[in-house]
Amino acid sequence: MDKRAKIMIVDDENDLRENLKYVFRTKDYEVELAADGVAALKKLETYTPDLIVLDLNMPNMGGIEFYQKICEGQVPKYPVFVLTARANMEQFFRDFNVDGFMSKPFEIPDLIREVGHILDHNAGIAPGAVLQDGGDKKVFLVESDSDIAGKVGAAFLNRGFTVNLARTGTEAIERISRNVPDIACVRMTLPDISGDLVISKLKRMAKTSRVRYILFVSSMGEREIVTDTIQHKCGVDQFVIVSSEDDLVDAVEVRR
Amino acid sequence: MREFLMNFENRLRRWWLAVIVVVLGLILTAMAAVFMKISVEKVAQGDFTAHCNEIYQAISNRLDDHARILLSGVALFNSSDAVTREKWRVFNRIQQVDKQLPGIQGIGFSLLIPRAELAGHIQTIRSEGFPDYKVKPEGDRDVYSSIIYLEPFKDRNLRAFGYDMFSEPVRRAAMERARDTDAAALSGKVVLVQETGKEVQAGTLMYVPVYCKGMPTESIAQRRAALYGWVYSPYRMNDLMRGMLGSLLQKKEQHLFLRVYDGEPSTASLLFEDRPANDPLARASVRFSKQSVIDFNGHRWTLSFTQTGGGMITREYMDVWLTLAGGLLITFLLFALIAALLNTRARALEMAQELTATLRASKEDLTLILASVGEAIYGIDLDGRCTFCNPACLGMLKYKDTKELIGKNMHWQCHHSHADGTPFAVEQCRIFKAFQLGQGTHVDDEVLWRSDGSSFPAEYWSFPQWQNGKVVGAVVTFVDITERKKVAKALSESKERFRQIASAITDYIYTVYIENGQPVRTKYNSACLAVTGYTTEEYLLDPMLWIKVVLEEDRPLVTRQIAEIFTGAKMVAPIEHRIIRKDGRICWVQNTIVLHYDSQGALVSYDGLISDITARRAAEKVLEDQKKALDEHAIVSRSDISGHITYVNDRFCQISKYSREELIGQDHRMVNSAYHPKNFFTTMWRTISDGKVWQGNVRNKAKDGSFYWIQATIVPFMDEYGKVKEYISAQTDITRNIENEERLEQAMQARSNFVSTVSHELRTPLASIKSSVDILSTESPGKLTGDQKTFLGRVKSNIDRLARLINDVLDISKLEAGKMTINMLPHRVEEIVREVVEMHRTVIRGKPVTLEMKLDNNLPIINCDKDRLTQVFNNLIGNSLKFTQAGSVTVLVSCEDSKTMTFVIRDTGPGIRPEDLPKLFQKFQQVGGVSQQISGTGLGLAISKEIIELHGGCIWVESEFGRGSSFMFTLPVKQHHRILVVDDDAGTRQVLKAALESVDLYKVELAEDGFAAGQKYLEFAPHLIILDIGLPKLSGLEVCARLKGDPKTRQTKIMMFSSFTDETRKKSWDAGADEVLNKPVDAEELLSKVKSLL
Repeated sequence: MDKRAKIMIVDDENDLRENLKYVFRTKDYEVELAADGVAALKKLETYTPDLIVLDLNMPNMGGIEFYQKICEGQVPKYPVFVLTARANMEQFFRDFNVDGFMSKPFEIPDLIREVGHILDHNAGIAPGAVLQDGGDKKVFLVESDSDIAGKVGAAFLNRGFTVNLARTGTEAIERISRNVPDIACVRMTLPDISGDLVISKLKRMAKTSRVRYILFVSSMGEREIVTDTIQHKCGVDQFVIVSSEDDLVDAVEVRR
Repeated sequence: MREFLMNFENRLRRWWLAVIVVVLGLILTAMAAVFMKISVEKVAQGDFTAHCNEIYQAISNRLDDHARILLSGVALFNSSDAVTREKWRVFNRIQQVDKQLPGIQGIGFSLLIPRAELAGHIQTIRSEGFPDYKVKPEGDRDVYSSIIYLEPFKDRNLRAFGYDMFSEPVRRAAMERARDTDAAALSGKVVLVQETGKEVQAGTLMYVPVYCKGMPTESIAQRRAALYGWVYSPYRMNDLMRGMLGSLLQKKEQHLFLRVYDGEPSTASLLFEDRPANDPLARASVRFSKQSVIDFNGHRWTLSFTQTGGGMITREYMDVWLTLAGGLLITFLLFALIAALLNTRARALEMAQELTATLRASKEDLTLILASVGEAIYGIDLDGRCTFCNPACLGMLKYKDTKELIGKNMHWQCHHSHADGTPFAVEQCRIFKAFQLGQGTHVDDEVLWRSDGSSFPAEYWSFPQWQNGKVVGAVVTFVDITERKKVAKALSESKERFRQIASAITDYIYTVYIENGQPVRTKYNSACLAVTGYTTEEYLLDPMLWIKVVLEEDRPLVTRQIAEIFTGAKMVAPIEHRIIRKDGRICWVQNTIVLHYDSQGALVSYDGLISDITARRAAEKVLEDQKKALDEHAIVSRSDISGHITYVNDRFCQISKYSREELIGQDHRMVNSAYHPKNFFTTMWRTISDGKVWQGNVRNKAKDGSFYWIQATIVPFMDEYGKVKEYISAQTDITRNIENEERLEQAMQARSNFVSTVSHELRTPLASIKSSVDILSTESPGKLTGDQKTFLGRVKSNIDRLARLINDVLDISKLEAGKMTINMLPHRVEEIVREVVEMHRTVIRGKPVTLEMKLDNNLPIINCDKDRLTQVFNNLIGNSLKFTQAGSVTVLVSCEDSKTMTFVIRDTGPGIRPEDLPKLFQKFQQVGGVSQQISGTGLGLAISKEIIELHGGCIWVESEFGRGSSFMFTLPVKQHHRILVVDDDAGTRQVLKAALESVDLYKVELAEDGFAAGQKYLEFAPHLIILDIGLPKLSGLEVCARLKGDPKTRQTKIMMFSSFTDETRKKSWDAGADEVLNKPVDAEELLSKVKSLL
């Protein structure tokens, strides 16, 4: 690494900020600090970080507002890693595209590793071994219809997969990024955000960028929504039209 | 007497065959016996002769043998120079005489001694070693002979030594004959010198001459001169004969006796008899006798044979007796047989005659009865064909002759149609049905048909006819009940009419006649009975009855009305009052009065109409009560079809704060609060204008601008043409309920916000602390002392505990707000358990605790939220490991009844006090309290309980204080019902499969015929089989019957599936089907029937 990566830490909690600064400095990063959104924005006028570690609840300008300020269109100008003590992240995931997140309190080694992954990822270096060996066995299914979920889940189970289920997109993002699966099968129409958006948000995050994403639909009307551009843009690995419960399993196994 | 004779003659005639058989049998038997006897006797005679010859031959041969022995002795003398005593002994030994010729006394040699040589001779012998030797008897004779050798030379033979046989005449005769003939000669009867005196036997001797060598022997003289001596043998006769005949004489059973005489038979000449004379058998009568003569060189023996006894009782006559007995037996048996046959036949004939007579009599009786009874009677066989019918039957059915009916099917003849002319199938006929089952019937609501095509109502009875335990037909009796029916109908009609008329009368009229302003008399019409219960006569008898019937409270009203009449009013308003009927009932009546005046305007009479209005009053009362109740409870309004208010009750006014006047005629929209979206009311209007009831919660606005919530039910009412004419809306005030709900929701929201804020505020400093501690412990490990590390570890673990607590609190708050979602998916629970257990195994460090896992084989797949279930396991296993200091923690998973899966986490920890058990699953409870020094949030079990209950399971604990605890929970296993569809049509199979699989609960397999169904049954073990009736190979009914017939498969439900006829439906039930489903299939019916079966 010829040039040291630059990390900006935006947090109102002085002790934590200083602690993080200490930690990242010892890991040979350049660290810049800001106590709130306003201060951070000011810093950005003269400073271009490689990553912003962002707290959400802050006086003057919170993390969300700050995030919106640094966005160009849907995407922030800088990679953002959210570090928050918030309990409910769902709303947050619906509206924002971040590169990673972590709940407080956290383990320092975890943070160091995650931040490292994001920086490597953005520098074009493959992140560390996110995927386990032993084949694509862990499947995450995102489907709001419990009937379909049950049938598809049973089909996966019968072929030796373990399956986890989320019924909304935000729940999916949160849980997939906490416990990374090998394959994620995401239904196009979901109650909160559409499947393609879920995938694109997950693709952006270093931790979950290497998961195989399958977008699926199960009715013709739904089929029409999914245009080629959508597929291409969001980084879907595979697109499947499901007419029987085995279709998804078959698709997964064909690629395997 | 004559009768007896005739009887006897009859009998004789009948018995002649038996008699003949007996006679013939006896004759034949006798003849057979006689022939048998003759033949037996002939045989016996032959036997006797043969036997005699045998003996004769034996004796004659033996004598020759003896002679030959003696000759060989002679030859010894002739061949030897000198025959010494020793030589003689050797010779004898070689001959082995006693063995070859038993009975011989010995062989000796008698030397002829002239007188001159006697002394020398004696001297010679004495010198041979016999000092006492002398020639016996002593005396002086010309010639002596002496037995010098006699072998065997011992015993009684010694007595013969030296004996001069020539001195005794009988012996001498034989000796001389032998000398003269140069041949063996037998002596006559003698007593041998050897006889000792006991058992003296007759004796005889045989002599053969020995001549001096070299001397001529051609003539008698030469022979006499040349004689040297005799070789001889003495015989004791009995011994000799026994020796000769041996076994021949043993056949005593033949009763054969032998006597041997020397020469002519006489007592003196008796040489031998084989049985003493006093033998009883010998004395028996002689049967056969024979004499034969043996000539031995001129000496004769007479053999006399006799056979005695041999009477009819001896064995040889056995055959005769057997023949006789057998013949008699056969005769007797034949006789008995014929007699029995004759007897049976006779008895049978007698019985037949008696029966015929009885039958004839009873048949005559029956015919008489059949002909004379008024009821029609006919008989039918199993096919329903007429077997007989009586004249009444013919008459009622209008047939002329029985021939017209006999053999015809009576159902088609007279029972072919119902009263209304519709065909009456024979399967439905109750006569037919009943007697086929062996039951009788009694029917009186059907008609029978005459030959002319007319019918009449009939009452009939049928009785099954039994023969040998089987129904063979039925007897049917019937009568024409036309008249009875008519009478009954007329009676019931008149009764009914009377009842109708009586109940229809609610009014009566009376007329009061007036003269000079005073009522003089009153006339009642008879309908007064119906209204008041009193007759016109009763009214006439009691002039005051009219007022007596009025209820006392109402009497002033009535009197007032009458008073009004007489005050000259032109019109009197009708009044309503109550009366007491004769039966005590109180009725409401309306009294309407019409006045009549004469031309001068004077009141002459008035008519009163009394109408019973009890029913109307009652209905009005009910309505009024209901309305009152409704008004008390509900807010009620009525509106016309355009929505304009036509009526409101007080409550409506109260709640809307408008007055009634303000509301009537207005549109309902005046209370609209603009809260609901537009289509809310559009839907409502569409519903009620379609004539349907609408229900819903509505927020309205009152006059003062306040809002109130109502729960409304709007009911449309129709006019006579079925068009909606008005709406009635009944509403209840639910403002408070709605407010309460909102408040509750707000409170919950506030709390949940509070919890999440607090948790955020707690986590923030926690993050700072934690990061500081982390830096301390990871960044400068070398600088810390052991104690410092320990303390730092405590800080860390407490931070973790605090973090977990916050998470738990968040979970609890989520759960309580009902916001915890459970994402159910099918999972292999064993994988989840394994994962958790492996994770915890790595955590147990330093404690002597083992973590075991015992899972049943073939655990079913269950629906659960994997993450949440993992959380529960973590909790329970973590708890157990935490509290158990030594021993084991075991996780058991079992599924016993296929409906629930049971999980047990058992530990050997300290256990839980009984008083603590109820608190266990409550929030912030940790048993053992502070002294346990174990960190925990106290929320884990509460959260676990919630999660398990969200899964539809339950959780509990069993514990023995000091021994350990078992935490247990159950989860429901989703049950898939397996259904096998069997139909030969592939299309139908697919339709059924698709319909069934639309329900997630069913797993469907298909089979195309009965055999495939059997195969599939074994593989698939279905809970239910949907079975087509018409299957190839093995019919559905058969498959059904087989499965239902076997106790092992009986519990499988079977739904038969077909385009059913009554018959196939019945057969299906009979085969044991649990349900039937008609083709073509209706999906809804299919699913509801399947659901109810499973």
